[in-house]
Amino acid sequence: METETDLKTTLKAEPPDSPQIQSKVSVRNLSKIFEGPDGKPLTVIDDVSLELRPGRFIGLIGPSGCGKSTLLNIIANLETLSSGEIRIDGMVLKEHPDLRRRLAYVFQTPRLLNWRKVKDNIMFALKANGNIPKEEWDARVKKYLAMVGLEDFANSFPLQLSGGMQQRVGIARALAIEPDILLMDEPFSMLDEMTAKNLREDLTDIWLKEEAESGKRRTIIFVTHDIGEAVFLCDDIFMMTRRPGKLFNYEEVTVPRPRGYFDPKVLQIQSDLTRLFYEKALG
Amino acid sequence: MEAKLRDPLSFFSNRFMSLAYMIIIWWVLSLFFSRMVIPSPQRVFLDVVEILSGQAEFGSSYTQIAASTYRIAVGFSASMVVGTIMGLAMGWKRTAEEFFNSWNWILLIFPAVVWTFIFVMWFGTRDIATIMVVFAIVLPYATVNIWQGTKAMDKGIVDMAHIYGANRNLIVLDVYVPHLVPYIFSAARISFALSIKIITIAEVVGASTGVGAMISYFWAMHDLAAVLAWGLFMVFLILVVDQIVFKPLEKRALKWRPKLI
Repeated sequence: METETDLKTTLKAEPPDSPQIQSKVSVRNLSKIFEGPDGKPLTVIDDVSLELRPGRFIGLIGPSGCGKSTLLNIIANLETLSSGEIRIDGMVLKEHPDLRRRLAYVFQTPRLLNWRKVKDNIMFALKANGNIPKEEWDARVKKYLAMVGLEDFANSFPLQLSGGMQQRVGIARALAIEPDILLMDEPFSMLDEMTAKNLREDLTDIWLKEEAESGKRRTIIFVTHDIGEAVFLCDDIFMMTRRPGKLFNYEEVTVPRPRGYFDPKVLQIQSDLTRLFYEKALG
Repeated sequence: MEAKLRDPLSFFSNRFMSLAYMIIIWWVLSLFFSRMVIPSPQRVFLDVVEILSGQAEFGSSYTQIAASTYRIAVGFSASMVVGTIMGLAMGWKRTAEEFFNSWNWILLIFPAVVWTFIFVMWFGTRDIATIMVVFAIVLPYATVNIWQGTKAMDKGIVDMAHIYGANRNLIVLDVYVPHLVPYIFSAARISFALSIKIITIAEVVGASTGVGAMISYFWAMHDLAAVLAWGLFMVFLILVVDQIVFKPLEKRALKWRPKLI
């Protein structure tokens, strides 16, 4: 485990990446202040800086209310920032709204159009994007539904599917636009543990399979409050404190994939991080 | 425990029995009163048959029905169109909500009879008088339904559409309109039933033709059986339109929703 001084250096240090590699996300001195219920300003995110390496599975963990989802929403341009900036490949996100077309989002709840068939939900994202040639739409719908194992449910309506299957549709919708950066906000937290386990394994498989096919690894930014989930999935884990959210730890997980839930190395990291989390984030 | 499936036959027979009891109670009561006070069900039934057969004191009963139907159709359609526009505006824009809210409340509470007198005073017994009565009374109900429907839109879905880059057209067509369809149907069904209730009152005061005018005439003749027969005929009309127009349309438009029963 790293000491306090080491940590500061780790967090401040630029990761050893060439800036040319695409989809490098930099969050610089970001703060977000809301108006609190009493009318006083409420700092949700306090001066957070992150350098996210491209092609990595990045976890952002913290207790509820620490601003991790808000951070994701700011990257997705759903919420504004109070100070600081976000850059993607060196370009300031605010000044280049078109960068948004390279992002996709998987939400905590599926957020599907219940009145559209499964295939049309995916079509919706393709249509909405505006940069995807029409000729590719059908093939993409087919490909990504098959990838999440729902090729037989293309003509079903979302409410005819189970929660886990609906979330799979949400994932297929996000993948279908072939984003450079995939944002995921606690996507499995509303599911039962068995379903969540399956989906985590499938997500890693899909992510690696896509790399094998296209030679490019998508960057995934995955928000969660579940340390075990983060260790199972992620390459890089950033940990945040309770509100106002500040970064207090960075951990690289080098356990090779496929990882097992009961792999001693995974369990060791999980238990170390859990201890740290209770001391620093909640203590 | 195994879930008990509801026997469709018992469901049907329950409804049938409730109707049968109603008629029996009515019949028993009619035995104790004169036909000026409570006419017997068989007498009223014969009058309904007479209406359906087309005979009436003033030429064919269908001429009267057509006159009322025309007024209902115009008043109902106009209030649905204007109500939908007002409801959307109120759901989307806070200023519109604050502006129209008090109007809507006043319209909701304003007595139907007062509208009738106002429009008859203005337009006499022309069709436009009764059409305006239907419009003025149904409009706030249609507006409230669409307004609440627009407000009930899940913000998460709209955020999703924005994140994926959807433009305004796509958001309206694929997100807002389908979300509103159930509300439009419920507004239409309530408004239609209300239109039929209102038109009869309006026609009693402000028309020389139509179902209301018939009711007014038979009331003056002290023929309560015929008054009741025309009333029952209106119930019949609502049921028929609901079953052959609204229900199938709604079923088609809402096939994405899981069945509740």
